[in-house]
Amino acid sequence: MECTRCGKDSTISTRGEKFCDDCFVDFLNRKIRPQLTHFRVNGSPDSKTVSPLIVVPINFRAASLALVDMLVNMRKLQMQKHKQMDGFRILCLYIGDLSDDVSWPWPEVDFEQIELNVSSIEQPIGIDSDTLTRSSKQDLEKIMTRQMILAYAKKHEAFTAFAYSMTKLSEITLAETVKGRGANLPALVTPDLMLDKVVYPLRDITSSELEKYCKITGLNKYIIPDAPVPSVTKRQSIDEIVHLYFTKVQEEFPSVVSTVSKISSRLSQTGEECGLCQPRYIGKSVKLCYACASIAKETEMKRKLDILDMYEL
Amino acid sequence: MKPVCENCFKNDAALKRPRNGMKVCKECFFMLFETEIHQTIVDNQLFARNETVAIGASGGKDSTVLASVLKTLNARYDYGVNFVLLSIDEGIKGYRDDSLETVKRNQVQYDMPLEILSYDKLYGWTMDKIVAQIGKKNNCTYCGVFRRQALDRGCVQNSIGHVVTGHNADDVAETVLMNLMRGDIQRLDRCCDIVTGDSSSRVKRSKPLMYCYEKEIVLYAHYKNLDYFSTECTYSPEAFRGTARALIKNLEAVRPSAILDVIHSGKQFQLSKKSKARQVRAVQCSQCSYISSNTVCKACVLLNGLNASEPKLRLTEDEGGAALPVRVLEKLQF
Ligand SMILES: [Zn+2]
Ligand SMILES: [Zn+2]
Ligand SMILES: [Zn+2]
Ligand SMILES: [Zn+2]
Repeated sequence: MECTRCGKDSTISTRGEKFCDDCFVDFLNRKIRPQLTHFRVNGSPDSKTVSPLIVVPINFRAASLALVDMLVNMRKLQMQKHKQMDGFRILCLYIGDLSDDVSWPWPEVDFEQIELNVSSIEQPIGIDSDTLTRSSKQDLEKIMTRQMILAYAKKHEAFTAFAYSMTKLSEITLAETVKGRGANLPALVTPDLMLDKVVYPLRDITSSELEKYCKITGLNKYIIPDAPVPSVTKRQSIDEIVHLYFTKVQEEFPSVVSTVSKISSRLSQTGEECGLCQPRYIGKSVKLCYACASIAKETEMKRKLDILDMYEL
Repeated sequence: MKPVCENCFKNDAALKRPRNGMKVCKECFFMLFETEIHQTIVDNQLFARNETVAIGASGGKDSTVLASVLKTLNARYDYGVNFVLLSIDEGIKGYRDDSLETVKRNQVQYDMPLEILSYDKLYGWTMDKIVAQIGKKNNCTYCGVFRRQALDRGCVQNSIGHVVTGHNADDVAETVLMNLMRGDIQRLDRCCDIVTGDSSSRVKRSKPLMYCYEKEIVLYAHYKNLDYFSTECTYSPEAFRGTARALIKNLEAVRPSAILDVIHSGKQFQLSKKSKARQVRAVQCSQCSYISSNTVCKACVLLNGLNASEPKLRLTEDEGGAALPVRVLEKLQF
């Protein structure tokens, strides 16, 4: 079969089209531009203003590596076309521990790492992550990571580009619904660039397309594989169950992913106030939403049981 | 030593409540289960004194438990409601025959009047005949659309303004996920409402069991020795619904509150102003005057399709309209 675009031998078939490696990479690189129109080159070569900064959270999975690659390409192209002027600057951010043997593919791109600090938020809210179920603990860590990223971006007066693919956004939609955070969906899945300073450039690209992208571009060797999912359902987290479910359903009903990823844009922003899971950066608040209150309850229950144990009741 | 009931601290615990893991004795379970439904009824002001309310009764566990609990609560809290059992005969041999017998016994057990409405009389088609015509693939769509209207039509015929159905929390959670996966935003907006049907519809519908776990309904029916019919519909549901149900079961295993959490999310979903503006206004069906979003309602569209293709079927239809033999015959003809 031939590539529909250039006639060379095709290697990839997606969206009812055949692509060769080069055309596929080019196709995906163009797919992020509609989300990034705000970051076009603006101004004259001698103007002193610096272009806006975009913080790109990295987790060394295919999606975030592909996103950095695409942003680097886009910026290079801008500078070629506009006498070394760019429309944005890139700063990559990793939250958590990182082993020494991890390598960074783009020496020219700034990279910063900060430790995940769950306890700073736990105490005022009365949650102790050691008392939580595996599922709630994972949930809490994800929420904290997002809050830390947004706080970091705010400090740097930067935009944040999360590497959420279409597949990921539909998983988030389903998983947050299941956790009782339906009210958050519009703000979480379809953020407003100017209001939230958050953008999801990969929202029209599926996770398997991003995996292929990394294979072709050689980014594969930088990927850190996902932690294994427990095989027993009872040990799995809500996010993991939803992920496994989507992987299966999308084989049978491929259109489901794009349908679900788009649904939030048609819901109104209701929102439940919450000092923990608010998709937007809000700083400190001790109010908890329905879902986070039930996480806090796990800590409360565990403490009660501990007291009973202490008195051998 | 058996664990003691965590509610009365007197009796031995007989079961662990699926919704929250609480260990309780049988009597406390009945009381808690019934009181929670009473609370739902009071909080949502579901009933008015002297109102006649139809109970959509299928003979299955949900509607049987609903009838039993409503009878108990009506007496205990003096609602002053007149309950009527309303049953639909879809015309599915071996399924409906037995379940209708169950409903007839319920009529005596709960001392409530019973009305039976048949698809055959209402639409001129039994489900067996429909399956013979279209095969097993989409028959649940037909059955669902027809059943929805059948209850309304039955209520109108009997001058009843309110029908309650046995939808439980699992059903509602499943519907939220289904609507999400289908991108059916209009339904997503409404599917967690306990009362549906606005001022323009003739019949109000409500779901008093919408916060009850299916597992607890089964336990209640079991410990109360309720007489219900436990076979699943012989025509299997759509594949998609099956996967949504399986997903809910997995989620419930990890987090028992997941079912209620989904419903909580479902209640938060509201159409954006833009989507609302695109919403279609309800009109009356030009053929049957049922409230619909189109000039011809879904049931009439389905019926028109069935009636248009009927003559072809008549050639192969044998006595009794049994579904499978006809399908076999159709295949043999090729
Ligand atoms: Zn090509
Ligand atoms: Zn929250
Ligand atoms: Zn008890
Ligand atoms: Zn009609």
